[in-house]
Amino acid sequence: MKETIITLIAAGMTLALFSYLWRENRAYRIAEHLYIGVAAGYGFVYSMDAIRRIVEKPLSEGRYEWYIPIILGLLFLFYFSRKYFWVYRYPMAITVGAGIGVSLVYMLKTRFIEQIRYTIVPLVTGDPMTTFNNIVLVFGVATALSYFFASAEHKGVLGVSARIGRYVLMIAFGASFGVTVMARISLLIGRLQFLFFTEPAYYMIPVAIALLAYAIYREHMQKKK
Amino acid sequence: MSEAIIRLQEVDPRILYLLMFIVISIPLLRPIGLPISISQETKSLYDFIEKNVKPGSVVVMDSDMSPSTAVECLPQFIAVTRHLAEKGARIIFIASRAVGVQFIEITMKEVFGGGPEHPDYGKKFVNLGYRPGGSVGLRSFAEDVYYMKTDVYGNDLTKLPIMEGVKNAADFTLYCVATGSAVDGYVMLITDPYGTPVGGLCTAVLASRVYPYWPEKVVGFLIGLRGGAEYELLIGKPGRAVAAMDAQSLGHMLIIVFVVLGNIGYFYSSRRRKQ
Repeated sequence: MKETIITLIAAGMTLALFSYLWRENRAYRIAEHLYIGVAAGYGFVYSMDAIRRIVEKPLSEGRYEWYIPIILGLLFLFYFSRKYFWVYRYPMAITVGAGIGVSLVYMLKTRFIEQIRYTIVPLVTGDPMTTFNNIVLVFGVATALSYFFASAEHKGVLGVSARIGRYVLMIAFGASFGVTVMARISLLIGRLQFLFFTEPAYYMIPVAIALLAYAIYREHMQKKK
Repeated sequence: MSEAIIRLQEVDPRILYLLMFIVISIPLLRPIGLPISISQETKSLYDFIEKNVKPGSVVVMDSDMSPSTAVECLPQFIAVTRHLAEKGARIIFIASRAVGVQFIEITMKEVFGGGPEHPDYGKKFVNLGYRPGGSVGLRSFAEDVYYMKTDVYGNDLTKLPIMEGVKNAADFTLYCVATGSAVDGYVMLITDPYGTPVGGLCTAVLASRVYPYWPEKVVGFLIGLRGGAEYELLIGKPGRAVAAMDAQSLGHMLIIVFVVLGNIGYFYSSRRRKQ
């Protein structure tokens, strides 16, 4: 019984959100606000549980230094106070500083130096496909970088290279658009799989169609008046 | 006729939505069985697991999924977990975002048939739950696996047999992350300092950002729902991703048709303007 009610609510929420494709309406807004509220509540509960699991044991062992991060964490609540908002800046500064400190060294290595290193590849290899890929990689990086070169006018060789670089960028954007479309279609497929194959979710489909038809009819009648 | 061609650029989106709904619904209800080829990105992750994961190897399965990315990542997550379980790996589940915990529970139920009540829980798999703290939290976990102290059900990690001999990220054979946001953060904090390779279970949108790290640091990665379908075929257990592939292909075809029609309308109208 519990499962049935949960499935019906989930199906109802999905269809209410789909109703936005017709136009913005009350059912859509209710579903949207419920989602935001529930997600925030869910995140809060799991975050609190994770913090409890991390600090419970050290505190029970008498390691009181763990109160320092707890107090610093609580200082974040001053974000909601107009008068003492400045207090919130201290834990924020520590969080940002620690985050940057932890990431900076590896960030430089992983996201900068290593990226350059992987662009330095042999242009002739035993495998024709690898050779082709490497040429495309080097050629693409060089021409795309020349497009962003602003210290000289884009004329002559630089102009040709920058122009090719622009096409390289366009191809990259096209590929990104393609995979984005793929992702969005996957989202729709996931919801339709849920609606079509989960009992009793599919019972909500005719209900939603009937409600939508009634709403369209009512709108039509109101316009007529 | 010419007006109709020009109007191809301005198709009412609601018509496109309706057509998309029809085109996707039909193959879901009546599968066509279009062929699915296996990409090199997927094959390389499968091969890595086949070659390097031995019974008792420790593999982390990180759920960085949200409801919006789970459609693509969850079938991948389940397929890879199934493969690891078949290989006899010790699987440590962890969630890098709070909403990711529910997908770990779904995976445990689908692959092992249960959660904390399962006799193999704590021996072959464990759910550490949500790990807060972003990159700082990940760094802490990589440095000391016991940073979370207990699993999500309150069991002391030091007392679970699965954690025997596991101290830090260097003891992992593989770190798989199902994500729609970034894989490079894991390369940065797991692979570079500890040498543990990363396996990417990514949304399609993320794929272009993973290529620079493949195959040296990210040993293999699955791209969207298609990657999940490919992996399901590789392990010989077709599931929900394979079932969705016909709909995915037909959906793409519809988009291509509309892109072509829109371009015909655009070029025709610009030619007429010139005339």
